[in-house]
Amino acid sequence: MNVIEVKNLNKQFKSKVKEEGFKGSMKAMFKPEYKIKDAVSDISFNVEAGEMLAFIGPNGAGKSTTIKMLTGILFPTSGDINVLGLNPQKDRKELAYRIGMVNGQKSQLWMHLPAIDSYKLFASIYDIEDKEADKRITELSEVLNLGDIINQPVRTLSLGQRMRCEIAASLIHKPEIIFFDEPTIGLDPVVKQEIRKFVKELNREFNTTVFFTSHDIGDIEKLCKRVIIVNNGQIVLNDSLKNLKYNYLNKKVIDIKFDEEVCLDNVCGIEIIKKKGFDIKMEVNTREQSIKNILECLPLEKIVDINISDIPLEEVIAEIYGK
Amino acid sequence: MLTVVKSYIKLLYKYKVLNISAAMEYRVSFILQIVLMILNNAAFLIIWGALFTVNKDIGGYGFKDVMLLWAISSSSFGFCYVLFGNGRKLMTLIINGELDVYLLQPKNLLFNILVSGTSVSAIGDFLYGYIILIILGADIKLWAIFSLFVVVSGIIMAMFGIIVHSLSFYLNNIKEFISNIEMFVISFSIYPEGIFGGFIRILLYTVVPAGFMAYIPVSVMRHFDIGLLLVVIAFAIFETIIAVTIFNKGLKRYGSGNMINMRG
Repeated sequence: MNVIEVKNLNKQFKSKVKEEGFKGSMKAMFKPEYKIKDAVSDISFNVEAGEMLAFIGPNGAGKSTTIKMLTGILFPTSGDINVLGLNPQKDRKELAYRIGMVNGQKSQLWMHLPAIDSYKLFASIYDIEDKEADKRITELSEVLNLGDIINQPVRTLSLGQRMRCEIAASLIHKPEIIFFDEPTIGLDPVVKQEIRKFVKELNREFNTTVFFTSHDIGDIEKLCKRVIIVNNGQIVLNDSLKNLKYNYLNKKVIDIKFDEEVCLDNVCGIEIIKKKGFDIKMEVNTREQSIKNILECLPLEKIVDINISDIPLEEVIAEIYGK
Repeated sequence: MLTVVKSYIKLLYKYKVLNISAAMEYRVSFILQIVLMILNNAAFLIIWGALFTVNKDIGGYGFKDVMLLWAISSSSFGFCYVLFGNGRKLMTLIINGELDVYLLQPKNLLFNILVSGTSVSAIGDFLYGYIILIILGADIKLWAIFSLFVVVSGIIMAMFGIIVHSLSFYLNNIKEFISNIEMFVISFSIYPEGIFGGFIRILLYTVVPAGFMAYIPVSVMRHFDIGLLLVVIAFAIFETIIAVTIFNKGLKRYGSGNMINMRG
């Protein structure tokens, strides 16, 4: 069952164009010129209940704009959106009870007060009874390992602690869909891992649909099964992560340490990307040449150490962004 | 319906408790803001007192009338920004894309935005009007009429603010314009009505609602007139409808943004 259905969605922004300098300012004052930018251009996709979807793209690709239209923050220029059977713009209040959002760059907590005070306010906003709210806060506090930090003013928390508190705030009303907009931005690897583990548990235990945007490919690899890549407001890829890896990870990197100078001119199908002393780093397109063939062509008796790895998914995605 | 009203009242209470608790984290600043605002307002009445020793009648007002004018203007301003503290920040919230948090919450948007902030110095303004009533030795009837006007005038002030701030949906950054027009309303609300004539007086009962916020309330407090009281209430309802309509229409142009923000 689809919980999100998007059809031919468009969003245009109008912005003023000004020529440089004072002359440009004067001209813009009396005869302003505007340009229309297509932030989101004719995109269509669906998300199933309980799915964990990565919605990624370079800066300015239209990710946040799309999320904001799905959550009722922005009005689309045209197109249809259906989230949990509701129109986010017409049924904003009704939908808000059923969705949550964690934004890595926008805090919803009161900076000078402990997070627990903000949680109690959010409970009122979502019409949750005091007793039920206390129970929910205890539950979230245990799962997210918040401990005493919910009693400290938010301004005194580390970024990682604050982000865990932010996630708890977004889950107080048990949303059916949760939108994560770069939740791991600026976090250290340990906190990132904790957050990923929690998101996975949330999805597994409560079948919460997760709509995830991040520039950290590790988040995507660890959490999501399907990925939608947007660029210049358009969807350039909508496929499972498995297919993405299968179709695009067709290159391997071979790192070899030789015990003396070797000549690899007769080895075909390789591209030497780095050479330092007796160490050589090469890239192989496995569609054109198998690893087995390459190894057969190499002077094995001169190899001290060898490492064969996939090229990072990050590079694959950067390549797709660049297309 | 009753449940909805109850839930909004509970939310209002929680917001106020939260905001005042946050402000009280810095207790010296909290107390100073309130006390200094009361002293600041009192300074003006001392000047008026000096003026009335020279002339007993200024613009049809005696000293007691000016005190009442200051009392209603100050307390209604205080009521407005203690209750609807984010009213003065609305333009900033709009142009910086800070409405996102509120749009994600299942409450009436405008109510949620306005009540989520509290101006601490406005507590001083609110108290000041009642201090004047004590000094004037007001009777119960005056206290009741005064309190009613504090609420109604406070709502008129808030709604006027929403109308002006909502123009930023269309005109973007109009900080200076808003600041000037707010000062304009406050300035006209603290001088006797009679010193203004002709076109200015028309403005004060139309575009700038100082007449409804201050002059009619003072007139009713001097000589009770149910008709005038109802006119002020009707104007408050009319202005609320206009403000909500303009805000909701403007909201469709809201552009959000990616500015990094924290709540105070």
